[in-house]
Amino acid sequence: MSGSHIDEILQLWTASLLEINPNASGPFRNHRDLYETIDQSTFVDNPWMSFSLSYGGARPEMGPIPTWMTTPTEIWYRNPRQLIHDIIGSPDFQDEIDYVPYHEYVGHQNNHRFHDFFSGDWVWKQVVSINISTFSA
Amino acid sequence: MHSATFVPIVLGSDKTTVSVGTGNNEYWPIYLSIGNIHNNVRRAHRNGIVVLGFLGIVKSTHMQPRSSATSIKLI
Repeated sequence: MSGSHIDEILQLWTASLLEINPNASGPFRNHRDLYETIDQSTFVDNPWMSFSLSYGGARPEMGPIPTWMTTPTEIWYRNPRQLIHDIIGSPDFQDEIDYVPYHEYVGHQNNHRFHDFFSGDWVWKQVVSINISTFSA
Repeated sequence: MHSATFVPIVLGSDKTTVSVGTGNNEYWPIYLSIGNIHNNVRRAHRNGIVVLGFLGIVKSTHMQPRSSATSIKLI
């Protein structure tokens, strides 16, 4: 799609919003704004990779050998570290992510309120028990 | 100074298998998420849970994989 076509679509997009809100504007000013947003994206390509896995243990000495012991199987995967980076770095989650564990207590009884994962006991125990010297170079 | 945070990795699978093409190859999907993001995000399917991989299921003469009514076609 050419730049001028993108501009036209964006103008139509804005025009459709103006009916509802006179100050509204579309998601991008023009095609250059769109291209710059794409170039600034932190998402990098994370290609699928695969390897073959075979059973290497003992086989029965008597009787038929199960086919799963002799047939290789495929494992398909993407770089997990990159996937985690993409989730942490996604601007979609910037206000919906916790970096430190917390405990919430509510009411006269001081009841422990569990909400998101970082409000729980497991995360709390992990973080308070990490040895900081593990991370110093 | 560097700062750090704790990022718990959450992995999961379910009994839904994925078949490719004619259905001769079946795979278990493995999902990945992190514990930091809020529950409402993880439930909202906004890439809070991503597919990490597919484990091939070996066709076996002795133990057939359980058929699933909810299996989906990948291609």
